[in-house]
Amino acid sequence: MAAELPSGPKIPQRPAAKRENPALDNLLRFGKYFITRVISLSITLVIAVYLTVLVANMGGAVDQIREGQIRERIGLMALADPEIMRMPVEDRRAMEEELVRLEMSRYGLDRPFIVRSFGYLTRAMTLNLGRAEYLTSDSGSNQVKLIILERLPTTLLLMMSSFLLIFFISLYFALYLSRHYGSFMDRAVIALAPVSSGPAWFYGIFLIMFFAAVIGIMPFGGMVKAPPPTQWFRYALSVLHHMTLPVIAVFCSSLFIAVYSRRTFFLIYSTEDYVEMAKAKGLSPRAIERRYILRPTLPPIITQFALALIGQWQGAYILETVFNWPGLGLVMLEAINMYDTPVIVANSVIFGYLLAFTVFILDIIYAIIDPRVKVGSEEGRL
Amino acid sequence: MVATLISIAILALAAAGAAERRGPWVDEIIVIEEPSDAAAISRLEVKDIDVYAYTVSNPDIFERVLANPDLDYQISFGSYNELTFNPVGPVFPGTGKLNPFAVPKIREAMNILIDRDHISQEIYGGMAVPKFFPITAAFPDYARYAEICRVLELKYAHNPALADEIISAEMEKLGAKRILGEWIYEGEPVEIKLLIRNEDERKLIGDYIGNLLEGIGFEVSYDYRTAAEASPVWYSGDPAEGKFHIYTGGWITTVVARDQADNFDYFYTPRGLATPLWTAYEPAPEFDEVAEKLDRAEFKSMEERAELFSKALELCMEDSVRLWLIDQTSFAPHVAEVSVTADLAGSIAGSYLWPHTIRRGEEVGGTIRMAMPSILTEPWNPLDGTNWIYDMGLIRPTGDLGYMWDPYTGMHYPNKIEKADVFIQEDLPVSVTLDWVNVVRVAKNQVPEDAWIDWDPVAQRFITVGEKYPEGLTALRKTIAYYPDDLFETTKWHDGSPLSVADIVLGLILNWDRAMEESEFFDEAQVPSFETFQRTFRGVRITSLDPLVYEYYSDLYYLDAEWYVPTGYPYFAQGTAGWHNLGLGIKAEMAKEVAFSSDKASKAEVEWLSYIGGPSLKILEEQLEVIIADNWIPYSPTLSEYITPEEASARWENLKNWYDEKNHFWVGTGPFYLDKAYHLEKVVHLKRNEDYTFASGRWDIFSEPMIAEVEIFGDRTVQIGAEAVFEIEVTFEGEPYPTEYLDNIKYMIFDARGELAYVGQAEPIEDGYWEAVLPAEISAQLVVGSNRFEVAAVSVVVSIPTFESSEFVTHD
Repeated sequence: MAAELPSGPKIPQRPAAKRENPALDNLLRFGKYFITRVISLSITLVIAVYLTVLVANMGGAVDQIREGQIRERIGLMALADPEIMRMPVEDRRAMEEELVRLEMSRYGLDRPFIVRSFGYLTRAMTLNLGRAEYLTSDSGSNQVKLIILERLPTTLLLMMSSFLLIFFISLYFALYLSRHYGSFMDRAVIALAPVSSGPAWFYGIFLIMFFAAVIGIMPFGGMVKAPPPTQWFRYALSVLHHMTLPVIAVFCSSLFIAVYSRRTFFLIYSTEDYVEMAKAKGLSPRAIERRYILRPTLPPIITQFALALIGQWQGAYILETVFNWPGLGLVMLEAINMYDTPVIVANSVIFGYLLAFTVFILDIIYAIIDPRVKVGSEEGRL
Repeated sequence: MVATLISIAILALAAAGAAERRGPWVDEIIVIEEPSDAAAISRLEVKDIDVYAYTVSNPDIFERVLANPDLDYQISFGSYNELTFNPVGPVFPGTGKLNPFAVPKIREAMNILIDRDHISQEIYGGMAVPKFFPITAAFPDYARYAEICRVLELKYAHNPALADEIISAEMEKLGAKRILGEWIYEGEPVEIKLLIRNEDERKLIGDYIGNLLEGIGFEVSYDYRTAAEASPVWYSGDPAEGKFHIYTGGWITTVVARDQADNFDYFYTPRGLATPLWTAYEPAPEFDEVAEKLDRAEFKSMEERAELFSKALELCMEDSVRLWLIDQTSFAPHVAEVSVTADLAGSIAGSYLWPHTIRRGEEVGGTIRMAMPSILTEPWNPLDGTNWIYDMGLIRPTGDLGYMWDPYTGMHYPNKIEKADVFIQEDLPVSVTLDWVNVVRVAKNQVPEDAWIDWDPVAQRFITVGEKYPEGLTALRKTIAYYPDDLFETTKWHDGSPLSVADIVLGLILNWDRAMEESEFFDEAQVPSFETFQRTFRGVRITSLDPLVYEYYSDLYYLDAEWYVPTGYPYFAQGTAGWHNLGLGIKAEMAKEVAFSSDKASKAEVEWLSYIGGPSLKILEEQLEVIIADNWIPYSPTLSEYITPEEASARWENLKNWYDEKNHFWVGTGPFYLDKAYHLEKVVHLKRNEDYTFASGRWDIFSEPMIAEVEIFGDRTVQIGAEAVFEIEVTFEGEPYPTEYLDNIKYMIFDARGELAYVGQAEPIEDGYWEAVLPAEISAQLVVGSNRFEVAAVSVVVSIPTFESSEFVTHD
């Protein structure tokens, strides 16, 4: 059971003091705790983002790679242009060097990496995402925020739909199975749980082969038919049609293991002494489930839900590739391949902020929903 | 003759279709993105798409296409791979280690150590042909010098025993010893560092080369890297540091290059590139001189060029700082009922003609669904927008060119222009093939005083030759492009505006204005290319407004007079635009809200201008409102001479209506117009331009390449000293190949020792039937044994020569 518990807030141990104004005292303790938490999360975020900048640039080694790429590109350009090839060598050299200089200056490679790295960090922390160095958004803009925002809805549509469906279905199904422990359905889910060892894209390939290539009732990929319908409801129907297979693929890869693990989780809780006591007291199964099983399991479920939720926005690269779904996962992979630091950093910093914010909120939620957690209180103990 | 036939065919096809239909055969093309070639084939099999415009080179997929009668394909070339040797040494200053490849004879011997057939058949599964030289086997220079190439190819055929022998002798000269089969230098094994690209077949090539080197006693280390990771080592790194001995290189060309003579200078001499690797090249003085002469076109006739080329081919093999491996063969699959033109180098996406010829069977109208691996990759703008091959493949259908590219020979044919005169300085090696160009050889071309030579960006007017060069100016080449009488009546922009001379003049202005610091439109990134332009540009003038006659003076010339006759037609580097929609972009850039080039956009931190989507549209829309209110004319001091206020007003109104209807500013004169670009969904919808100038079918003669098929009949036994006759049958799709479509058929006799005994020309007897006569005096020189009769058929309508060979026995 300990392994299932959330890593909740640490409980400060202070010597007992005389309480003149308990409400104010509690407020101060809350304030102090949360300020400390905000500071520690901020420091963590700064370190994480700066590490991302360093890793994305291989500690500055990417500058060499990019210079090489620029020189190579300009060399090839010269080869393809007879006008340049017929120039005297010295003049051609001078022209090539000028082109290299322009490109180096455009990407800021004429300044040391260490200086640029703090620029990346400052802009990231202030959420000034700036402009990408290579990538453009789908509509052609080089603003990082548009690169992300244009893909965000499609990513969320596919990933969130799949996630929310799986989350709630698995939750209710797990509860059902925990009540029908040992039933046929229970044994069937246990048997099917290993199916989840296959990733979603793996099922995706088979689904496309069968439903698109053989039967022909489903599309091969994309998010809407071509050309896209002009009426919104037809457009929506077409999107639904196109997201059916990827959602099923995610289902195949995640549903059974999610049900199995939650059902086990509920079973463990349902054998606690206080549950037995409740049963002995003659409480109805519904009341036991609601008050004695669901409530103590709520913090880990909420934690899992919240953390998984913020993870969805980054998309799933291989799944998007297989279904040719225009999601953020593909964009990020492209950014990594092209060493497009502003896009990589933007992705990290947004996720960092979301994570920090979620952790912070979870701290508050724990204090509200879990009666065993008392922030800063001398009697607070699990 | 051939030109006349093709020209007649083009006109006849145009006339035949004129009564019925204008523009392309199909009504609309829907283009989607499909990154996976395997998935694309599945989609083709179930007819979910009609064409996959990508150069697929996977042999398994090729087998699927071959096995399916409902599918067809278009072949293309253009990618080629090689081994780049590190020439520094023989001892690396950086490491003190031995570099055997500093020795030219060892590099040369590597040619016969490797088996190019193994690479092309086993590694590429047949999707490649062996390559020995820095010229492409499918391009005209290879066909020109086919017999020289064949002789050298036989000389450097796979012979590992001989290679081992040569390498061993040279290694010993370097002071290395072979102990227990392993090469030792100064007490240590000789290690060869292989820098191997890991993204494609070059990984397997690297492994294969490593195995071969291990087999002859070298210790090999394998360093697998991506392009980006390898670049700092081989390209921009110092080869003296000894971080690599061999790099598995790859190159690509997207157009059929009619003149590849400059490749020797580029690939083998320090003049090629300003990188440490190239600087380390030390070609033999003779090779250096030959390469430079070819590069600078320092020859006075094609015969002199042939001599230089022959020498260069021989010497490049002796030098071998680059060892060429294969020319890759790719294919673009499509459903069998659809016909479409593909460029021999650039495939479908790289062809200018595909939108004109694409058609489903004999159907008129209908929809074609096409897929490409990537579309709408970067912003579309005509001056400095996206340059991705697939985006360009979609931009080309919306525009038109003054001349059209022959996708099979790289030759140019008149499109918007009717004909041209080329006045070339008489001592220059320029030849003419097609009859739409009239070549006049002159002692010199005097540039007229009223020709424009420069631009004043402040006064916004042209500077004439008379003003800038009062002493006069001459040019090596003068071209006059003649447009048809009805140009301005028959050519309309997609928004309904008629073409005008101002569209052409604005294009001229931009040659200068963007690169001049005093201009409001200045873009630093344009300066280097502008300086290149200035180097050879000698003047331009419009001698007649209607019909339009465009006269151009330059010191730049090509071997073919037809190549690059400047026409001024407003098709820019990345697409087409009239003065009005181009002017709109210029206005927005001057307002510092967008920039045409990504370089300027990055530095100014503004949007990279897109005419078809994103935040640029709103900016352009706002600017258009201002322009309409002012009835603004760009570069008014000059362009007002060609645009009346009424015309300007009409154009702005047309553009606004177009934007209101289509929600983009992409306006061209091509056979298709952009109906809508769906950016997130990655869909492009092109529709037929019903007002297109030309009738459907104008370019159908280029629907598919007429690659000749050759068969040899005749004497199998030849008496030494007697004359022998070989019959050569040349066909295309079972029909006799027209004699006038064949430039020549060379034949080569290789004797029983494998040496070239004779080169001759076959004679045409009738269409599809040629005869080669082996003279008695040549047969008298042959020895008893098995000989080989080899034929190279060189076509004028497709640059790929066809080779065929046959054995014959000589006896007393």
